[in-house]
Amino acid sequence: MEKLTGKSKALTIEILIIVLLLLTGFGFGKSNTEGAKAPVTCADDLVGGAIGGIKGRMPQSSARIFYESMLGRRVSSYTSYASVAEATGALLSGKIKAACVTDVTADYMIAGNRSLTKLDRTEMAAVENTVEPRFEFGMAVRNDREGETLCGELNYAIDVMKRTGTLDDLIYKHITSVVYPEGGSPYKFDTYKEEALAREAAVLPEQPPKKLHIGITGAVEPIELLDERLQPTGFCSEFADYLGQILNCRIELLVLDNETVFTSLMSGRIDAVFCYGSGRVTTEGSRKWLTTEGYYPMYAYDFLVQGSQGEL
Amino acid sequence: MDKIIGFLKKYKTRLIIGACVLVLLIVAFVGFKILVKVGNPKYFYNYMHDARGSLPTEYNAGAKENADARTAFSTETTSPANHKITEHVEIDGTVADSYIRADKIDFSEDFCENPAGIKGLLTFRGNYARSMTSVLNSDISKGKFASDRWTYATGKVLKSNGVDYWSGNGWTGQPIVTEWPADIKETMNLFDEAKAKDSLKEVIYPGMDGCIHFLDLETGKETRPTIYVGMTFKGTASLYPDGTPLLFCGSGDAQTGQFGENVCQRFYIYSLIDGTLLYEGGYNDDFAPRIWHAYDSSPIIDPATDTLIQPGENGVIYTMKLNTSYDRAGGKLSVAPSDVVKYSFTIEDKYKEGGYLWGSECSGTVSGGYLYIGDNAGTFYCLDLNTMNMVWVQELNEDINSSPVFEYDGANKYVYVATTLKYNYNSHSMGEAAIYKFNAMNGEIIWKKPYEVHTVKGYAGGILSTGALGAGIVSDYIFYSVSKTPGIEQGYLVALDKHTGEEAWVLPLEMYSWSSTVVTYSSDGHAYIIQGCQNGDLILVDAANGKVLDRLNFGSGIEATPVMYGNRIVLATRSEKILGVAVE
Repeated sequence: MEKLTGKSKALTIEILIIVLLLLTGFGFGKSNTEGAKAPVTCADDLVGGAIGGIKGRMPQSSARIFYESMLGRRVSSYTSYASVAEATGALLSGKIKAACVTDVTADYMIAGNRSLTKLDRTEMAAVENTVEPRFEFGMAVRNDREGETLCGELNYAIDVMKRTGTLDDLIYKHITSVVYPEGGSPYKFDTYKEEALAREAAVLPEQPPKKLHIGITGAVEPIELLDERLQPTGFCSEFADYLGQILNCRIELLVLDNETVFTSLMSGRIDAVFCYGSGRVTTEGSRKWLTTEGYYPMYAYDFLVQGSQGEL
Repeated sequence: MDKIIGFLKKYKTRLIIGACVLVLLIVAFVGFKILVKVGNPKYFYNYMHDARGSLPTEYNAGAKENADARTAFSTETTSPANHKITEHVEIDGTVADSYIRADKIDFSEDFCENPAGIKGLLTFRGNYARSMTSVLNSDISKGKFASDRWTYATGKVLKSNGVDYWSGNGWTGQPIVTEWPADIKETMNLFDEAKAKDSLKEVIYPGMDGCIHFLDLETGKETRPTIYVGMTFKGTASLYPDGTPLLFCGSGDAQTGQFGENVCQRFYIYSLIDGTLLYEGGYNDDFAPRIWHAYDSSPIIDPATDTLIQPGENGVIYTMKLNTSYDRAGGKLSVAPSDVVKYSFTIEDKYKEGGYLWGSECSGTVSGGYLYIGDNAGTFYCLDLNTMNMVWVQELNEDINSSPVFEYDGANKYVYVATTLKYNYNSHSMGEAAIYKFNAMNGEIIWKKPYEVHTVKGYAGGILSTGALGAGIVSDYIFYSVSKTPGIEQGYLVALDKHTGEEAWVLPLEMYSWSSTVVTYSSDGHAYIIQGCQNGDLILVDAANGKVLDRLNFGSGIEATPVMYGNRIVLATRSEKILGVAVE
């Protein structure tokens, strides 16, 4: 075989470099991430863009329609990610233009990462801007006789935590002081306490459960937080401790995938899901689950975007 | 030949088995196709058998007496006391035994049929008599649809089950069309082109996609920014009837989110100066007897007393003083609702969740101080708005989706309504739905025109459309579309003699229609019907005799009700399109 001459060598190397560059998409045409890197400052900037969120019970295709109706605009795609970390990672790497999370999670992520910000919701659909909370986070249990009993027991414990001010203390310790150290928390302290004291106290169950398995997913930071070892920590952990004390039972928090935690509840693998949407139901037909009283309000979904360094 | 016979004899058994398997496969394939079409094996029978369709009219001439009374009253048959009615009233959050309205509501005939101050179709069926389906004479000299059309794309939102979606526009889903005075236009957030256009006719269309769209009737171009609400609209909006730029609309389904949460349906008031949401109400109402909250019913506003009347599918009729403040020259607009009065009723041992249901899906009609409305249990009643007491009632025992139509016939007052087959179907999912004419003053039934129809869960049969009263050469008629008869996918467009309830003509429809009939008139006195159907057909019909003059097909169900303004029709489909079509 002929040896490559100097000229041929140079040409071959140049061709190889061009091929490599083509394969990486560098500098040739508009890459997928280029659009994603364009600054997003308002809801209109998401038109035709890629967004993402956390995997949940809602199918991905439905989640896309859902977030489009919240945004009031059409996007090009919606991707579900396994965790908040993955979703924000995709945002920061430019794979998506916005990450759709709950308002408290958005504020928590922004508090921990000054390169993140969130879009102004007043430009979005009216349903994103209701005066009252969209829902309260509460626990979900199966809608059967056992679930009904358990719901009553959990409501008793939550009622005690509200009227004694324990819930407010937990919220302050793990949410308000961490996420809103300079103020601006939407949560109004003493409201839960006043409401609980204004009504009759719930009754202690005759035979509280001996052990409860509660599913945690880490999808709603900082309400559900997992440490470096992917073990529950923070609000959900201390909340569970109090539950156990009040009900005089053992609580085991099981870390599960957010997409399948509900199936685990229905199959009986767990007794409750820690973080679900509590509140009044105004649709007919029976639901497979019940929810307890709420323990923290959620006002809206937020669209996390990349902001300038140092901006909130 | 011998070889063939020999072959057949040799493999006789295998051939027979093969033939049987082939026949079974064909039957299975056909059965599968039918099942996909039918949706449920229990409807196989309905696909194979026709309903009887038109049934004999029942007529009671004596019921016409006292139709000219000045005040509504009840008879032995229609007295609420004889129907075990229990009523509830709440005034500003406090349950009350009785109520007397300080500023009396009194809708005049002129106002109900031709509200001054606003040009166009300001509510469902154009006015509060629910009798104006078109505005201005149309030029239909050629008797056909023109090629001049436009299309506008809409979208979808999730249903409350979190999986399926509401798309495009559906029942009743009629657009509003209006022409704003020049000075009001100047203060509005219209795009420059729209603002500059003389005689702009604006189409205002809340849709199942959770948006309120604003379009130019002639071109389909957006006239101002879309309002994003995020909750589906199934019903029809209303404008403030004296021209104050307020829009009233209500959502038709709850929103389920990522955490299984339920965001309750509600009714909205928007400023059409700048698209601002001014008020939302009717959500999570403890006063409501029914779990389901929805607001498909087109609201009614009395400008004389500045009162909103909003029927809900939760079983509540809301009235409230709007305290409207409008600086027309400065373009400043606000509302501050107060004096909220809520009304509900129930019938002992009848109404319950999962049974005969409370709540109105249809729109009401008004005359004087009375509201006439039907509910999901088939109770059709007259409510005195100034005392919030039921005056008379009839239990029709079938869902009332068709909105009542009020007729002033000299001094006589009548109201027409129709039912959907929901409760009393037989084992073959067939039963009776009917069109009724009532004496509006006492609720007596003058005639009843029944039809035997099929009904399918989620796709009801009967009369879901609202009647259209004829005028001019068809002034003796009232037009309705009847669904799912005689075949399960068929229907009728009927012209009934409004005096007797007898059919003047019947046009069989290849595919049934939930969309309400539009009647329009040409300057030479001819009358035409525009009818949309579930198979996407839009047909132009001679209203005098039922003859089809022209037909278009849009490929997807026309469930929403069109409107006609001059010779322009605006309609919408479930495939996420609003369309403008002209006639010539």
